[in-house]
Amino acid sequence: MKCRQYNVKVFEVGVEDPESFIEFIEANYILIRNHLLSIKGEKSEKVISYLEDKGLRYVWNMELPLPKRGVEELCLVSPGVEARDESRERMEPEPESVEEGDEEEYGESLEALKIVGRALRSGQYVEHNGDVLSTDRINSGAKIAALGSVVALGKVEGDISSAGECIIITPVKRGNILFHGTKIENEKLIYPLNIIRYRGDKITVEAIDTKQSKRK
Amino acid sequence: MSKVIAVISGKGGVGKTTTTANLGLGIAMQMKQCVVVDFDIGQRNLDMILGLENRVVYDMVQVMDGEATLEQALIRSKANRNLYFLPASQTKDKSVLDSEKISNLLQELRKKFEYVILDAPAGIESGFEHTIEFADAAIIVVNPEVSSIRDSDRAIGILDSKSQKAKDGHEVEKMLIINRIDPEMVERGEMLEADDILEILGIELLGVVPEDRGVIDASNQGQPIILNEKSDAGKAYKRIAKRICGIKVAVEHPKVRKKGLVGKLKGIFS
Repeated sequence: MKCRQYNVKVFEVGVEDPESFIEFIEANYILIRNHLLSIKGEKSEKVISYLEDKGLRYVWNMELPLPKRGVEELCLVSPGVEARDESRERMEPEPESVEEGDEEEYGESLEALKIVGRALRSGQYVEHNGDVLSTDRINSGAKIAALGSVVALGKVEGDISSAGECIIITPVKRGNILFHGTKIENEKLIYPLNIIRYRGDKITVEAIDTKQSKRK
Repeated sequence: MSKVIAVISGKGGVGKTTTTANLGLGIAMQMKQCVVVDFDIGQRNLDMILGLENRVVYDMVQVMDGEATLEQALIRSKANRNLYFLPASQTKDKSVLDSEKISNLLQELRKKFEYVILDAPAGIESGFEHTIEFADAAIIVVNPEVSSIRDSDRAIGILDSKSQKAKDGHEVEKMLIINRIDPEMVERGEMLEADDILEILGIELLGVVPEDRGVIDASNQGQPIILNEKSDAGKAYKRIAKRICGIKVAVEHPKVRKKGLVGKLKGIFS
């Protein structure tokens, strides 16, 4: 008998009411489109029809053999914060700035590292199915959404969403930072270079340099 | 060689039309043939600020549609004979604009004038896109506040992706005017500094115009503030116009004026 084993990414989410659920999925679609949705709560025809239209895969009220890690941190993101403005023009990919990476290292589903070498202006939007390195500013109203990790070395006043291993980022006063759907409070990003990642079950923010790990 | 410059801002109410009127006059004062074109179809204002309201007979839409000649529609300024004005239509909307007609009109204007200054409508809709489409350069007008800066940033992004020059692989020249800066508020830390704005927008600074209460009265009277020799804002516009004409003039940042005893007392009781 031939057998194959796959790893599936699961995104667990509860339904409180169909409208807010659909709003939430719309706002986070880029992050969860390749996940299996494990939905908890009352079934609704409206939600089922929406999920079918979107082509999202889901199970409803099913107990999956999931580790505890991450479950508590996956909370609803305010749709107002995350809502995508389809009228905004997408930033054209910069062929010269995209370096080919070793996809095997990242898994089959993720694409090679994308390097954004210029400032992202308000309304510009980088969506990438892999890791993103931004070396310049991310202005207020600009956004990076990545299924992989995000490294932002310039000043960040825009929004960043990552479902990867980590976000490496400078201090943020304005802008929304979302790691696996969880909003990271800007007050926690106090180091010259912060790394946001999972430590066991919890999301942590630490200084990238161990010498600076003590809070100022 | 003629240069087409679009005056843009993203956000409305930052002083774009006032800036266009003053720079048009300032360029004309440098003995350059200049035309200012109101691209705000349906919301014409530039005629009033230039004091030419009662001389508008034909507009740019009628010229583009062949209902009037360019010579019939152009209005010569009373304040300076080197300045002309091409009004917008007040009765039509932005949907009447199309790329080919605009391109033809600008080609005609390029033949007659050294500087063609286009006053863009607020926002980033089709009227804005048509204004920037064939521009060689853009002047971005911002107020020192975050909403104005974000909207300008957005407008710059669209300029860099949708203007014909950008589509041809060239960079559109971008120059920043920081309008209505209040040095006292900057000193108290209540207003963004010019350096902060430049860091965010990352473009060349063309000039800084201080807050000046005389600007409103000047606009109401149809006498742009640049005609007032004593006005700080007027002096700033003059310096900016010189820079546009290629004259090297240092950028002056408005400074807090030292108050006398009466001024200090007024400050206490105001």
